[in-house]
Amino acid sequence: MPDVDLLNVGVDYEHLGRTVTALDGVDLHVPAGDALAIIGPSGCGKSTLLYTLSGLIKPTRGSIRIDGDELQGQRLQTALILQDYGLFQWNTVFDNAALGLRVRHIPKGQIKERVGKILKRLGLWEMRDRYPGQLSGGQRQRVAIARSLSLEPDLLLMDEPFSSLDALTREELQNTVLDIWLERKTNGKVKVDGNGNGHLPGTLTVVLVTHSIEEAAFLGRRIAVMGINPGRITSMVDNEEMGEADYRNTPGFYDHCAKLRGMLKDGVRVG
Amino acid sequence: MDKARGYVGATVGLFVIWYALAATFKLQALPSPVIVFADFFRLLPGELSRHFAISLYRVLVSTALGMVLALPIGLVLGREERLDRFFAPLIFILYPIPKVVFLPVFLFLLGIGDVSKIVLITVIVFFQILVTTRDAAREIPNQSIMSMQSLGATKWQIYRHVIYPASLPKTFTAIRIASGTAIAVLFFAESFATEEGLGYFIMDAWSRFNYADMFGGIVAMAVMGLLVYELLELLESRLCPWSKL
Repeated sequence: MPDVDLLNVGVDYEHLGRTVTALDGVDLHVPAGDALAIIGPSGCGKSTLLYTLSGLIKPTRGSIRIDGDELQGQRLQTALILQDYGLFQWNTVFDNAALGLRVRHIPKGQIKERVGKILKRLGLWEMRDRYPGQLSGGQRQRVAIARSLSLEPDLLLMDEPFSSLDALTREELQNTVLDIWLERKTNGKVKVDGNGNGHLPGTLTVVLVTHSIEEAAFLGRRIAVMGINPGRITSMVDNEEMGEADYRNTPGFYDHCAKLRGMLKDGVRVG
Repeated sequence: MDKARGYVGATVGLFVIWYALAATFKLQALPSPVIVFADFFRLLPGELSRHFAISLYRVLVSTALGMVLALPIGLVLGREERLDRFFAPLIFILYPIPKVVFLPVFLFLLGIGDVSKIVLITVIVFFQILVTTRDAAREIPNQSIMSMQSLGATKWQIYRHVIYPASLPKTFTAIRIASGTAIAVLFFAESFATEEGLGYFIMDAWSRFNYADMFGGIVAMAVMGLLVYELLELLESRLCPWSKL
């Protein structure tokens, strides 16, 4: 199970001949099976942090350990969902969802079975032959979720996955992600052994980057608040009640949102 | 079916305009379409279809060659900055040169047969497709590439699953435009040192002041252009079915 550990991570990049520090001194520990939301103002490097976790960006300083191993490039059990451009308009829903498995040379029969099961579960099976251009924004992001689940990941990274959706669709998809996380959480405790009955093994660690306070409070069991110039984590909030039934409509949820809003405002003032 | 009806309508429309113009000006050099089409169908079974076939062959081979060469090179230059930095200046120096001026060189080096004509058209079509494909590949959003990388794709798989299909619709637009250029260049190339092809047929009829034959050849050329265009449509709907949704 992947504990995620970041030690003093920094990322610099070159922009117009100048060195810009996107991230500096980021220390972070995400225990296996946790759900971490990262929130912060635009330009705070939260996306950079996520790409660094995915192995797409190499940190300039510090070290990243997943499951105790130093991260080197992409990890097969890590799945990444992006806001846009993640799906390919030239692939059908099925082929989009199956792309990760095809790239990994999984046998066709196995792909059909695995992807079919996930598409059915996400209510996409009837649309398997359509192209993304024929889907709504919400359905498209569902396909993106299907693709990442087909990889049977133990670490799911999401970069503002639902921010271009309307409010109700967004909540619906947040519920879907929460359900998947909760389901894996219970599975993880039972620890099914490898008879290959299609169960998803173990808990799922989720790291979500968002600029929405509600999304962070709804999907983050812990919430990291980031500040700007350079991008760093300024505070950590525990959100124990996350995942409780109808959490979105509880006073606790509103309290957390108010608290986060205050922290973000302070951060901007200080920065 | 709608398309076929459109073509019939357009043909009838052109026929009427042409008829009116011919009847108004009564020029020897602009014969009535009634005479031209009678001549066209008289010549079609024999001589004209031979010239038609040769011209079509030259256009198709050179367009296909231009596409097959320009597509991979364009994709790679669009994505590999280091190669592009080296080759892009070369391309943009050569691109605007009117390549038809090299016909004498090609005739000298490659003979007066099909090869010199095909090479000339290929070179012209190649540059048009190359420049568009390179730009299309450059414009692919970084997120698309990252999303593919995050799945664990190799460089080859990124080309195969993202860069190639993302650029293809724009490449087809370039090919369609280039096919028009190809036919125009073909006409030019066939009016020198050859006795085969629609270009020769038209120029020969002209030199004999046989305007009915000349316009028959022009009609054949229009039909050929249409055929090439429709072939490209068919190929595009096969290779990128998503682009017409």
